[in-house]
Amino acid sequence: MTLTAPPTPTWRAWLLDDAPASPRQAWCGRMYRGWLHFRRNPLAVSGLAMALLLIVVAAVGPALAPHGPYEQTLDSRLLPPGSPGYLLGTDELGRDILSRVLYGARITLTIVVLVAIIVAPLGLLVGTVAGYAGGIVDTVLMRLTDIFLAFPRLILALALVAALGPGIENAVIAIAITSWPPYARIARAETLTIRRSDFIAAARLQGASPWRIVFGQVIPLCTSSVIVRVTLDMSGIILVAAGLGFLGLGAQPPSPEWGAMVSSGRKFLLDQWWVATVPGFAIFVVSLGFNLLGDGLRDVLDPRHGG
Amino acid sequence: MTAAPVIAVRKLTVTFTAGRHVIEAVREVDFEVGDGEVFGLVGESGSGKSTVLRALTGLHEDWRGHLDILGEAQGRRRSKAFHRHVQMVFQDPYSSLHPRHTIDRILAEPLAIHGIPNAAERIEKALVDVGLDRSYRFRFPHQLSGGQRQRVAIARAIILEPRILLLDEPTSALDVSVQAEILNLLSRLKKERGLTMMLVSHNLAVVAHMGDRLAVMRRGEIVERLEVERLRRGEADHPYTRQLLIAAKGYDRQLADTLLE
Amino acid sequence: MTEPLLSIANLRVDFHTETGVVRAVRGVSLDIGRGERVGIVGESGSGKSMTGRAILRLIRPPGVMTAERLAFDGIDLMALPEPAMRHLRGRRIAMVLQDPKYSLNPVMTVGKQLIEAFRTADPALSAKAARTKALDALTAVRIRDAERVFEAYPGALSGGMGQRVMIAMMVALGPDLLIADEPTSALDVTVQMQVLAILDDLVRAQGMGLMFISHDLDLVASFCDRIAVMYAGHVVEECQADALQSARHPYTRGLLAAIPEIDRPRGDLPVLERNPAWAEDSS
Repeated sequence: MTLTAPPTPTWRAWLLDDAPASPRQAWCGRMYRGWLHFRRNPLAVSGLAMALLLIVVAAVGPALAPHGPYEQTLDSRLLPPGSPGYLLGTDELGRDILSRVLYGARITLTIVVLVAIIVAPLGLLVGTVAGYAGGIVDTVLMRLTDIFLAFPRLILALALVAALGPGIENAVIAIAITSWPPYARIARAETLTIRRSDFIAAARLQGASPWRIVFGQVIPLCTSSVIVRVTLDMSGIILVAAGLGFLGLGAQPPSPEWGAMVSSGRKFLLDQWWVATVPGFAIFVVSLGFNLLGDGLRDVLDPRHGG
Repeated sequence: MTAAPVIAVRKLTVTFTAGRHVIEAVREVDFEVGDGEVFGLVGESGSGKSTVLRALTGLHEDWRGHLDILGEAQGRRRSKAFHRHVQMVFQDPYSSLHPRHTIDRILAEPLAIHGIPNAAERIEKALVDVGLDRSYRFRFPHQLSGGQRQRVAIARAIILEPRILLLDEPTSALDVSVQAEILNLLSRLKKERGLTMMLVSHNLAVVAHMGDRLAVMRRGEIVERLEVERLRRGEADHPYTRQLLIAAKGYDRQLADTLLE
Repeated sequence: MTEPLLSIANLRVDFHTETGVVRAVRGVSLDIGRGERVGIVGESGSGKSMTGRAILRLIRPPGVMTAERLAFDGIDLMALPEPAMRHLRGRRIAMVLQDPKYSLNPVMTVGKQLIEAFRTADPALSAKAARTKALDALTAVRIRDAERVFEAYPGALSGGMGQRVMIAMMVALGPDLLIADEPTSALDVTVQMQVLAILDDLVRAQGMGLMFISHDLDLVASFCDRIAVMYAGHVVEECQADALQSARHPYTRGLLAAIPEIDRPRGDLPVLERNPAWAEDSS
């Protein structure tokens, strides 16, 4: 969480000013207070560190990697971790596992970000509109949501990938289509409690249109719980993506996607455990990181904290 | 009463539907409010006094009867001009301000809806009008006390320069010393702007302090209409109004015994 | 002079928060006698509720309470071990809160809760005797159709009825001291009257001491024997209830003046100017 502080040494005072002089200062101040609150939770901070690590690795990983992700050295196949030049060993084609994991971070991050930016707004919009409009609109939208919820997530993703063909993009689409309904549910439930508040009545009395109320008043209040839920679901998304990769329906070889790597390492699991374990551990760390981050965010973004 | 009334209500019945039951929360209520007058609506919880306000503003749509506001008969839907002229202040200053909006944003919203220019200037003026310093402009509601929040809610209501201000228990969530400040503010705004006000309250003393005339509601009906002057002299006719008058002064064993019988 | 029922000297409650120490109660000293109704009046944040909770030692961390003396019927409450304190709560000192919703169990009928209270107090009590006692307790708070209320769930009761049930439950074991924290603030005036009359009777009939915490000066003045006015954690003024109109402290006078009155001519209400010196520690 980096903040644009003014070039004075008293940026902390500026952020904690009780009487901000501009909307930007008010907003930054609120973020900073949230950060102060967040900082007190060591688990959440470690979760944030893990998520940041994923981003950093995705950004500079290729530069750090000692080898290319597809660089095969057939005479040094299946070397154990610690072998000279191959810190985490090599796989069955003699590719450096460390390099592949570093490259794979970019794919994982892409999947996570793409799913999040499709799913969160879609769920939020469907849920808030259904909740605020009520009546027939609510019924139609929520029954639609129920239909999507009724399918087992992985099976529906499988069917979609089978229909559209395997690949990262289709895996993203499949995951997105199967994961928006819970967000719609959350957003609707929150909207139902918000729509009865006096500040919504006040907005209606000012002559605000329903769309204006949904976008200006309802969505900002539902966003925080959706952000928390997305963060908590990130690990699930990563796991489904990895699962699709593992089943051969997501990223295709030789792509260094972590799930696909685990899948190909499966064959050597008993004798060359590191081939599957290293990418598996990467999945574990990133999933855990997002889970811890999500728990921390939930504490901070809870509207009762006013944060 | 001078000229045509600003608010005229005839045979207003407001209903709520709960499953298959239709409940009449307000039954055949009549009253008129003249220009620049403060009209009080007094009653206990469930008397329907707040429901009358919600029907008046269009927040509650299930009603029948006649509603004339500013000379226009009102239907289910209200025009944009209606909202510009009729504004409301709610009871709970903690729930009537959006928790994630700054005071600036809260006050800018009505201006944006009605396309009124010079927002920054008007917002600062509205803050000063309700006795808040300009430094409050970019704070969030949770950084304000209850009284300050209620001032913001009043600023939001008057920023559109309405002619009618509807007040739903505007001080009952506040401490008495803060209540005095808010009542003084409302009196001053009324004087300065010639506002017509409707004040809904369970507190007879507040209505007597602010109002010119009042109606006492009980179980969805108006049981008595009288001038505040007569209330002051204790000249209420209806026994229920008399009970409220005694109760307003504090604990009274005799009244308690009659009520317990 | 006989020993008062409750005697408090220099009671303090501090809350240690991240931004510093919040001193909610700052040196309150107060006595309550048997059969006496003492009103604690103050605005929100004056520490009046905290004082009530402190007497029952219901201050949770990060709150810390200290007192030079906190004696109930000769028992030093500060030195009492927690199990003994628990035994005292409900049996000898009871508390009624503003909203009965939070104090009654929503998934248990009123009757069951009353019976449970009686049988916890006296495990030897038979089921039938407990039931009779429970119905009597409901009748004592002037509930006419006690049988119906007995079978009802708390959610089905109106505000006034809920508060009566609450009082019935709290006074069921015949406490010596009742702490009532804004017991009628959520109620309509006519219902408030009835609840007050019930409390009035209980004080008279059982010689119970009553600590009546409220923000409503007029109500306290008309209902209690003695009044303590609190501001910023202090008792700034203590007087007989009928002498409230001649109160001395500028805070009390300011509060009284700020109340609109039906028979007083209109005009701007005098606004209370707060003097920071009132909040300063006196001891």
